[in-house]
Amino acid sequence: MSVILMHTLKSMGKRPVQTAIIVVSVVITAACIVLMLAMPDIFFDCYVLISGRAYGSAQYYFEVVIGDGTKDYHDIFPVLDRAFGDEWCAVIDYGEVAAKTESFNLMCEIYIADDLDRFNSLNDAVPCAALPEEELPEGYAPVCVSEFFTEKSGLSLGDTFSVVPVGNAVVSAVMPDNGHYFSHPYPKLAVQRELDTVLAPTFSVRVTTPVDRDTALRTADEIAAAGFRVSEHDDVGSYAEDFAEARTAENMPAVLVAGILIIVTMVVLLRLSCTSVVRARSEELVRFKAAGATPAQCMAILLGETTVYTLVGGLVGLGFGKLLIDRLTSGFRIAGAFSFDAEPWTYAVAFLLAFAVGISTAAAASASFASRSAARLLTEKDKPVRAAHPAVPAVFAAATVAFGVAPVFSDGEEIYAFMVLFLCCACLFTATVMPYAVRFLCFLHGKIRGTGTSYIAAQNATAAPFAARTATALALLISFVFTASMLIDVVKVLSSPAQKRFGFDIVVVDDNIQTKADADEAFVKYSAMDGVDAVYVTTKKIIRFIDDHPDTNFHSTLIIGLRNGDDLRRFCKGTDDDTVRRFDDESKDFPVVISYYIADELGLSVGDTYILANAYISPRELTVVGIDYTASNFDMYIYTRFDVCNTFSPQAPIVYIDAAGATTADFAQYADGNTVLVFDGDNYNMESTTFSMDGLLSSFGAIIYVAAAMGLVNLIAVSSSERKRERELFRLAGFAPSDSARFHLAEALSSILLGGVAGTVYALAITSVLEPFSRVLGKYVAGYVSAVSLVPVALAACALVLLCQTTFNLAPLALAAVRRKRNAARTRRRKAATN
Amino acid sequence: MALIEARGVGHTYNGAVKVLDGVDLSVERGEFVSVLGASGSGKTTLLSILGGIERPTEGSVLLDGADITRMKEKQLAVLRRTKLGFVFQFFNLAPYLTAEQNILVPVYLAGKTRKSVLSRLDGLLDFMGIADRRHALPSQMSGGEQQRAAIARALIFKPEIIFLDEPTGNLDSRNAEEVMRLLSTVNSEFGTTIIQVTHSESNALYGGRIIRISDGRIVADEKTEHPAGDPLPADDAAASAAGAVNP
Repeated sequence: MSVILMHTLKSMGKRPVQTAIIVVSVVITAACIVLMLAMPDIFFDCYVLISGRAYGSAQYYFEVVIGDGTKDYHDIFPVLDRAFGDEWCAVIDYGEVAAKTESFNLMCEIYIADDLDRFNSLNDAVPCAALPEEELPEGYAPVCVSEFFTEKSGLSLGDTFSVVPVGNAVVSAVMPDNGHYFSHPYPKLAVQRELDTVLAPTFSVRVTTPVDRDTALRTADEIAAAGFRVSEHDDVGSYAEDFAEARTAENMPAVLVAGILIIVTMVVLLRLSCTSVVRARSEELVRFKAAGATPAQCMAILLGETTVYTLVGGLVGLGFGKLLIDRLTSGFRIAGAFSFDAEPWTYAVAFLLAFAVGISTAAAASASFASRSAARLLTEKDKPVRAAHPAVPAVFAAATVAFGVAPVFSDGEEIYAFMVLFLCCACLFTATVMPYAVRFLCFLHGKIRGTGTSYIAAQNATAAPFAARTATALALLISFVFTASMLIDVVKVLSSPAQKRFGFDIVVVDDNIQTKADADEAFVKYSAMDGVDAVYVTTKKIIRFIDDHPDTNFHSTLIIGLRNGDDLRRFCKGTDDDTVRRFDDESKDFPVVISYYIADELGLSVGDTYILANAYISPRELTVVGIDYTASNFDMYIYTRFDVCNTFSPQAPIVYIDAAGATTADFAQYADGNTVLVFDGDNYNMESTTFSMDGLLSSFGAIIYVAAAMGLVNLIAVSSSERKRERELFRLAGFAPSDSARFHLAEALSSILLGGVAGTVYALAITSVLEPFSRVLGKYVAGYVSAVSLVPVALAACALVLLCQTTFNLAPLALAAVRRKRNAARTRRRKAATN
Repeated sequence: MALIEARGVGHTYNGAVKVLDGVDLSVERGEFVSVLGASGSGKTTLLSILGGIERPTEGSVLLDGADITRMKEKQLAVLRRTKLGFVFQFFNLAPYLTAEQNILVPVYLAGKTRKSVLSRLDGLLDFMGIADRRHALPSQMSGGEQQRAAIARALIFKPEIIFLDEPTGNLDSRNAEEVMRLLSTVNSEFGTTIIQVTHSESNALYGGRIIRISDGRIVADEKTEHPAGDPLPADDAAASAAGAVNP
């Protein structure tokens, strides 16, 4: 055993590059597995935060509609007292309201609560800093502000300030930012006063724990029996948690698909690495066999080496995975918001899985080579690659198309299986068709005729396994990287689409804009300012619907008014000229472009009309002039013209400005008194807060990319080391150093051409297939993907291949040249000394 | 003037292991020289130095009066592809090229096309008896066929000298004899100078001159009266092929 161990360690030392590549592959595999095990927890936390934002962290929630105002809402309170004791409060959420003061402007969420203490206790029941009642100054409304609010405003406990629409207020308490990610877009400000049921005809009842679901439902029924309308939520009990669980469960299959693909890729890469290393050791195996080693002993020697690789790599990988998760979870704005409480067994499972992956892939390669006879090991080394029968790639091509089309006709969970099968078949097709593609390239090359060396390289590549393999790997790398990015987008269900369209440098809320003419005037005014690149004047109207409305089966929509069709292009990517023309057609009363989720929900297509109505606005007949396919199911947007939107009721017109060179101070100076608020785009929008989630998914993506690139580098490294004799042979046939350089360059360019083109074509094909996937899934996948976005990926992969092929193949030649020169110099010195 | 001349050639590996020591050697145009010696005697190193593959640590090698030990790698590459030919025991052919493509490697390197050497190529393939194997990959050819293709490649540019290192070491006796007779024919019909190293006495006898080497020194240099084996039978096909090859 000690002999084998010694041999193993020496062998690893002899091949430092291969050893490093295999160990790193195992490290990445183990880290991926740890990440995969952490993903459900992270996603659950993520959705708890979503629900925290959507439902104010309340355990139970239902909305009471006051209706025509004939009943006093205070009549409901005794009912609630009976049901929940003092564990409830009534809250009106004014949503995104600008808090205006003399010293600062802040966009914040204002809650009007009937009981501030209870409201505070609802915020995850975390005790917050509070001012004793006797210290509250008279004439000031007590307000509870979020930590984020204090950060932004510079206020602290006991400070007074004026706030619209509350009046003079004193900071009586500071609540912790419980939902740092999703609640952070705006600071919170909660005011205790009478519920303003005139401005807001509904208020929500929030209940703290512990109350069972039946009690909540019974109470809602009792309130309804008293003559009030209660919005019906079947899952009224633990709504936030239900929401989080449902969303996590809904998205986990996509995450698992991505995870399985990563691990399968790692297995393939490890298999390639192991096979290459074992092949490189054929002669060593022959010597063992000649010395009397049995196949089992040969295999034991090879596996002994792999055991060391996997033990070291697995343990380092666990540490790497843990480090990644720690970095990811602590990188958010509030530490601990995302958590992964890994038990020791979790790491044990991850290690065992990584170990099993490493050993099994090595065992397959080792068994194959260890069982071959010595003669076969010697003679098969340079055997040209045998292309699969033409029918094989044809079958895979047909299967790829079939699995690509299948999701269009299905709407169940089976689409995930189709997705995996589609990608697998696409990979197999690539692998089997590539030798034919290489031959075709050689045929073309023969027609065009380059230099002698490039011609030889092209001829050589006809049957050389490394050329077909490198081209295949490159094609897979490009398509895989792009596909992985798309899969990440599948699970990127957050507000990034909205973020992209509303992400601007400066945001101005200008109350002066009430008509189309005002909007045009504002456009001219803001466009004329220094440093301004683009100005978009919009008005937004959030329309909430009650759930049982006969014409509407979604909760709310955001109607956005734009000046014209040109501005529409900024908010709806890929808007075509026809849509712009229809949007600007003034003969239509209510032309709208709707997000595809609304189109799907309501079965609308371009040219259809739809009556938009709820209890509080006059019905409007909208004409659909376009559908925005870049929106997610969280983007329930209706884009219409500014004047059309305003008829729903004027509300906080917003000017979005691209002006990287300008500051809010420049605009504040320009602002017109108290009617204009200026915000930094980052604070107004969710950009800074979406960064955290982007970081999480991007890190995950980076691991995939590194893993894929590692495999490719390993393949080229091993191939080039196998070609030492071939290089020497060509040298004897008359290759000068420059010929060798040209030869390898020509070969690299052939591989790049084939792999790059094939990979880009596949990536585009996958993109077009994933777009229908996204429709079926109802999730965000960039439906509009420009081929230009592929260029950096393809170029980076091609550059990697070029760099590796030239470095690995030419470095030995360069070293040999240096050696020759050194020897020549030594000879000259010796001759001179002799003379 | 001798075609190739070694003057006081010595070679030391890693500054410690001396494999050649003061070798003086002169080969005339059209000679068939066999360098005979045991394993480790330095014969392969001598061949490599004569062929410009390795530079000696001492002495010089003159080819047609030019010192190849002072030539740059690029000049040597041009020499290898035009004036010199090499045939080794193993790994003579690129495994991914067909026999014909392997033979044409020097042609492509010289920037010429297949068409420009087609008649010579056909003649050589016929002469070597592998015309029907021209599109076969090395893995699909026997050892003898591979060596013939390697010799054809060495001959494609009508080199002045061919270096062979144990050309039959990997072949059975029948194939070995055929290859040696073929080389003998090349030497007699084309006048190509041949230098082979071998440890086989019988193969050495195919040369008109035998140089014995031991411990890096030439210990004997003798002419053979009757080279072993006859050239290949001069049947019509071979004769016409030879005519095509050697205009």
